[in-house]
Amino acid sequence: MSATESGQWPRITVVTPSYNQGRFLPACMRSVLDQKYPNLEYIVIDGGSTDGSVGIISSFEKELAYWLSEPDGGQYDALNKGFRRATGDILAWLNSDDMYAPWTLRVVASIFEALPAVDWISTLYPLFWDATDLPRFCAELPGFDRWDVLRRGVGVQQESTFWRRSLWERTGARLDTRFTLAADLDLWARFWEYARLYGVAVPLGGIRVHEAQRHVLHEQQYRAEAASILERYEDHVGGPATRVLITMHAVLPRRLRRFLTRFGIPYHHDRRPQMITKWSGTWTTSPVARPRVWRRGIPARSA
Amino acid sequence: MGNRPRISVVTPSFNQGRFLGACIRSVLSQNYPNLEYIVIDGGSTDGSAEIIKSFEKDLAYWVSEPDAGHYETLNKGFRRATGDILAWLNSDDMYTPWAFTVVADIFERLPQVEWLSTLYPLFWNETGAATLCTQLPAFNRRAILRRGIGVQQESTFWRRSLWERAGGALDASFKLAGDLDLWARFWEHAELYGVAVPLGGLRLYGEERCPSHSRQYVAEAIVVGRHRRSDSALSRIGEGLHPLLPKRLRRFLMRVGLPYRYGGHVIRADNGVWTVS
Repeated sequence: MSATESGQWPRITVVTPSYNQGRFLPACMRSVLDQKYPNLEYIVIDGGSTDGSVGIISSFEKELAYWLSEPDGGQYDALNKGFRRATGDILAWLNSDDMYAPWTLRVVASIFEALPAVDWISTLYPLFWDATDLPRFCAELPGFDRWDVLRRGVGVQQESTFWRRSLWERTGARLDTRFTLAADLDLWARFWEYARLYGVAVPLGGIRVHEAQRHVLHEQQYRAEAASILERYEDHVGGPATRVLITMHAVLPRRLRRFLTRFGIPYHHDRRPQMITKWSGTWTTSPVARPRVWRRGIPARSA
Repeated sequence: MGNRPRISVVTPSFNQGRFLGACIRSVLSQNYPNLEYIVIDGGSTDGSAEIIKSFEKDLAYWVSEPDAGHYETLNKGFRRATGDILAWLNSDDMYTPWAFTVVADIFERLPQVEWLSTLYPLFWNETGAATLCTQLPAFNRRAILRRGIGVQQESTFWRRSLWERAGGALDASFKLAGDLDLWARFWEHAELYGVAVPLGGLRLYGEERCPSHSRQYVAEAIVVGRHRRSDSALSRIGEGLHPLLPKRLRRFLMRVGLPYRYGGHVIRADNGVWTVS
């Protein structure tokens, strides 16, 4: 019997950095706390908000492991402060305007319990919330390729990404505060030096699409930071032949791309992009492929 | 958003007490302001009636008495339904918490939409966590009638006007494929729109009556397909070529409406407004 079945859930630490997002903060915090996850450590670090955020946080006080409000050096500084106090086996952060799906923490815990080889995960089905807390669309990602994500600077939804403490400690155990917008991308680049990213075929979290999003407001800055990350890690992701193939990738038909992907060409790191599914009973990893369900009918389940 | 359209949901129940509470809570805990929830139990012997009774004050109607099967139970419920938007949820399945608000928003905003289903069907496990999501490219009438699957019943909602035009009842002569037969009748009157948001999910577990691969279901699906297929020869050729075409070309063909009559209608929100693309 696994630990999750016997009632011993692994400890999950979620950190929320907050700064003047009082409008969305209650929905964010409820999306974490309403899951009633039995071994949650929830930490909220406010950067000295002046819009009533502090009152909102203190109203949740008894459910929080720790919270504070004081001026800081920005979002990633707040996160580092929070993660220094984190004691969980599984770590993640959720920005104060974003939300988890109601099942997220239990699903994440059961995956990490069932699959010891998995050090970090993200969703293949990112959600997007609107200002009224409703999902307005869901997307499908084909899998995670390190080079492709670093080159484009997008492709891993931070809100849906969770990792083990062991990986976090091996990669420096902090966010790089020299970045103002792309420190998450930098963290993924460091994670990728040690472990493969597995995609989960379930929506986990979502980003709120609204007019005041920081990376939308400062797109130029984000692109510059993403480019500097790519520069630093470019050499780690395959030789020249790999890069030629990856550049051609965009013009190849999707079926051919999937075929190449499956046979380890042209990807250096993620030879076979992996996804995690629970089709019958247990979580399993398999190369990314569209589930056969909708192509040929639901497969007969083993008795 | 003062006057939300009335949504009627019917849950047919028979000896699924293990999951019934979660099913009912997934409907009621959405706190949708104009919900009419009807639970029809077929005379369960496992305590289901007591579970339903415990939710009594939030139900528009409930009854527990022996009846002639799943679709007869549903018809009993739908005869009492007064909502503008109709759907049913089997007693072991669940909605996502946002389903009703999203569906009501879409029906309010897009008058041309008469029925819709999700492009991102979810699957729940025994404990009620979502453990699988898939993506459907779009809904193709012929392909779905041919294969018998491709529309997730738990995520499908329709207007009363369409329901009445299509007969206003499920065909109780089916044992398992009554939903497919209903979709086939809907398709004779209106196109099916896909929503790019998960709405509901099917629970997969050991002894579940998951019908889509049983012989009985396949036999019934063939009956539905024979009666309802009515596309032109050109569409059929296109459909036959479909698996051979590259995905991008298929998507393009769907978008321009060729060769699929009922293809590429996808609802998603851009800048907070529901639109059809």
